[in-house]
Amino acid sequence: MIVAGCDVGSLTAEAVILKDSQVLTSKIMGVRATAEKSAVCVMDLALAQAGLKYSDIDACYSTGYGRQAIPFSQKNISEISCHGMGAYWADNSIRTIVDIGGQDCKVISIDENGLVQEFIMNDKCAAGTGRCLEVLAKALDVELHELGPLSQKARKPINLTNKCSIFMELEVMQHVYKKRKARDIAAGINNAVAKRVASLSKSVPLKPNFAITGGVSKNVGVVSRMEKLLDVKFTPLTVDPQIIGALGAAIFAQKENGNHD
Amino acid sequence: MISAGIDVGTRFVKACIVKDGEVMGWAGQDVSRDIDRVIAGVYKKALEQAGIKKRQVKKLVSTGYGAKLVKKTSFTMSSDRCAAKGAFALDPTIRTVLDCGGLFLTVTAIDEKGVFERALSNDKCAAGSGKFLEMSAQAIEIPFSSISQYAELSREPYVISSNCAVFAESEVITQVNHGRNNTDIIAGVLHSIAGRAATLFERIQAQDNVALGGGLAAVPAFADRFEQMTERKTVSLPMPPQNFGAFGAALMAQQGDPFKEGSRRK
Repeated sequence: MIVAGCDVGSLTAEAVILKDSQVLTSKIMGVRATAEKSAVCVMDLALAQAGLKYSDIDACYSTGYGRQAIPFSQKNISEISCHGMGAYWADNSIRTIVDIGGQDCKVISIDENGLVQEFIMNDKCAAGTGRCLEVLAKALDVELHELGPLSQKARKPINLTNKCSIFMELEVMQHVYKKRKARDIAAGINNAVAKRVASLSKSVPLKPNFAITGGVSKNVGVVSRMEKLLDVKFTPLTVDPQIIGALGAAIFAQKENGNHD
Repeated sequence: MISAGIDVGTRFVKACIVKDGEVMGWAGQDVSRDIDRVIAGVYKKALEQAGIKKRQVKKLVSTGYGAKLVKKTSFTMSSDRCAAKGAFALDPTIRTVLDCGGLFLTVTAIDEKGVFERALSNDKCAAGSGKFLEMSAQAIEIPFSSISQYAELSREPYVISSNCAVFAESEVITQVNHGRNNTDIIAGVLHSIAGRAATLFERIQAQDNVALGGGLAAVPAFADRFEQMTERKTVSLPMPPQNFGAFGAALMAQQGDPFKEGSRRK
């Protein structure tokens, strides 16, 4: 049985194709003008890589910010359920998932079947999201993917006191004016984002084991700071943490369309 | 006596040269990474315009978010006080100054002698700031100087749902992609920003007359919406509203630091 999941987020879109409960292929790309275009584009890429056609897919579910606009999906499921299920499938010892995406961050608590028990989410304010990191990386004039490695070399991280991303940007500029080292500023940026997410997670029971997903989980600075602040260790996942949402959607498609294995 | 005021704002640096209370020259420029050079450049331009040599300036006062970045000042002064000082000097009937700058909205109340009474500011969140308007306009490709013209053409202003300036940027892009007119979007953004300013304004229980300062005040459509929402008339002053701060700082320099000379701090 071949199933697919498609996750159209605010900044990136992901597609995952599963064949007999194995990940056949996965693709990530930046979003296009509309959610529909992004979905078609990323799915075309994934299908091409797998050497499949749309007609080969038995079921496809969608998730994410643009999940309602996807023409080839039979059902859409909230990204919270999908992140829970995706992380659980990748490692069934996981009970708490921290997901830091482009425009939101959430902490999800799941049960021993991978179903959501409780969650908390911030999607009102950009602080503590990937978008905030993007704005601050730009202010510092470094690439987004460099923030993590750069921050690891910091000796005296700066302290960002503001909560608003735009005020943080101003604060970063002030440190740039004062000629502070880029690595120390980068560490300050990562710490600030981690702090925002950590303060969110106080409202959800934190049960081991822990996983971190979403694009920001690729930033080693944020991840290590989160571990320190929450006093936990994140279990490394066997699949790319950025495709967890799409993976979860595919798992739901498989579960609800026969072939329980 | 000749004095100078430099206002290092979050988006622009402004300088003003004053002789015995009269403006002799002023200049302004965008901030950039090399802030020291921008400050020096703006100051130099203002001096040139005034036809004054640097050594003739007896006192220099800086204000604004980056006031401390200005070297060799007599003292620094908060921007709410400077903007109020500048506006009051231009028109002594002013009791309230709403300064709508790049990142901060500040409303300042002054008494009939121009003495500072109280101030309020959006210090937690950039929603409603000039940056919010700037980011949105940029995202939908409207030049900042044409915002008012575009907004006037709107028939059905779009209601922005994001309060966060960062998210509003992506929201407006999505709306454009769904075929919404950029005129309706920019009108909606202006409405949202004017609403923020109006809320802050109501909170301070402002007295008439009211002057609008800061870069946003130079956008006529913003001022119109603000007046509609608050049902107040604002007074237009004979100076570009961005310069109130630098002008006020230069006036403060003429009088000396009020906090050092035993004057009461309110």
